[in-house]
Amino acid sequence: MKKRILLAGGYNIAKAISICLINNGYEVTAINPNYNECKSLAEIDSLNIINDSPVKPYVLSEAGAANADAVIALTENDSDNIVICELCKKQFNAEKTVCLIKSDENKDIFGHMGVDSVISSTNIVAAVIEQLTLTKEFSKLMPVGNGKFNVAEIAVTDNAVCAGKKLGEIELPSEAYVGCLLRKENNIIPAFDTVILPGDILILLCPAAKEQVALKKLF
Amino acid sequence: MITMGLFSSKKIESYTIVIGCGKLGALICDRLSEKGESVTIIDKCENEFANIAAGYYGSAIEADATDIAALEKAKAFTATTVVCVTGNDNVNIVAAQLAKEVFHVQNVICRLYDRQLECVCHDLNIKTLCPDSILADEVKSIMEAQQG
Repeated sequence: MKKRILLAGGYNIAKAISICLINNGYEVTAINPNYNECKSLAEIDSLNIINDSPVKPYVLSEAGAANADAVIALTENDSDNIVICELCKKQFNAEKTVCLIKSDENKDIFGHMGVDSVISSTNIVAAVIEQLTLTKEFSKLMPVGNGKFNVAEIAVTDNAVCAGKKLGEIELPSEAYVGCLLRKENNIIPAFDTVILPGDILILLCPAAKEQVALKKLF
Repeated sequence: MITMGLFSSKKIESYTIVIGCGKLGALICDRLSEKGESVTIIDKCENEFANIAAGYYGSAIEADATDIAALEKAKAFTATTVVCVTGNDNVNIVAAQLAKEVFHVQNVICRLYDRQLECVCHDLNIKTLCPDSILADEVKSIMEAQQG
């Protein structure tokens, strides 16, 4: 049986997530109070839509919160998202609740009050923007683990310090490592004696605060 | 000479924070202030403080009460009671939960227009007041008294 996901509120994020989830075989229902947004969401194949307020308990109940494998709260208001998750957990026994919030502070507090996962959008966006503006060496940066870790794609230039060296010779910070090396069309899982060549693309896994340190060792 | 004060227990000063300065919040502030109680009112819009009567001598803070920094500014750690009466049930719930879980306030009272949301607060020992329920009970009492 397909896993059921309930998206409460949101429009742009709901649209993006629902397409992704449906393509991965989930059954998705979106609740949105705005009629025009619902009309636009209705263009997505296989998406169930409820045009009503996602903060009302009876709406969540009728949308199948009790049978949902996950409820994801995506409204504009942190308070609404927190309460939607707590309600779905405490009243409807939803399997898993995920909450999008803007304020970073409340993240840890609501974790044990019915909200299984909290995503602080501000945190993640800030981390990405910071890295993109401060370093030109990263061509892509993806925060994972709620912003605590980053996966970065680094292109090795001709004059990079690491070019021509073995991976084991580079003193990266202890929690950072090169998970994968892309050379021309090939993925290489590098070993300590793999020599890094100009033109290689390194996929670096690194704790959020340590990218600069790692970069200095590589360049 | 050793004073008797050594063995007397320190009386905890009562201090109330009211969140939301609509009609109800302002009325609560006025009543507490008249009794000489220590009060702080928090509302995210300072224009709302105009609802409070002229005799009020407590504090007023313009801030979002779901922001922990705002509650710290209001010295929530020393509050004996927090009353959440904004116009938004969800804001009331979040503020009440912060008061209980972060600041460990003993008495936390929360108005909820929607009775179905009461379950979210119950296990946290937050007292919820639903206007519809209270008024319905009151109407029933009045009718019973009239019949009796």
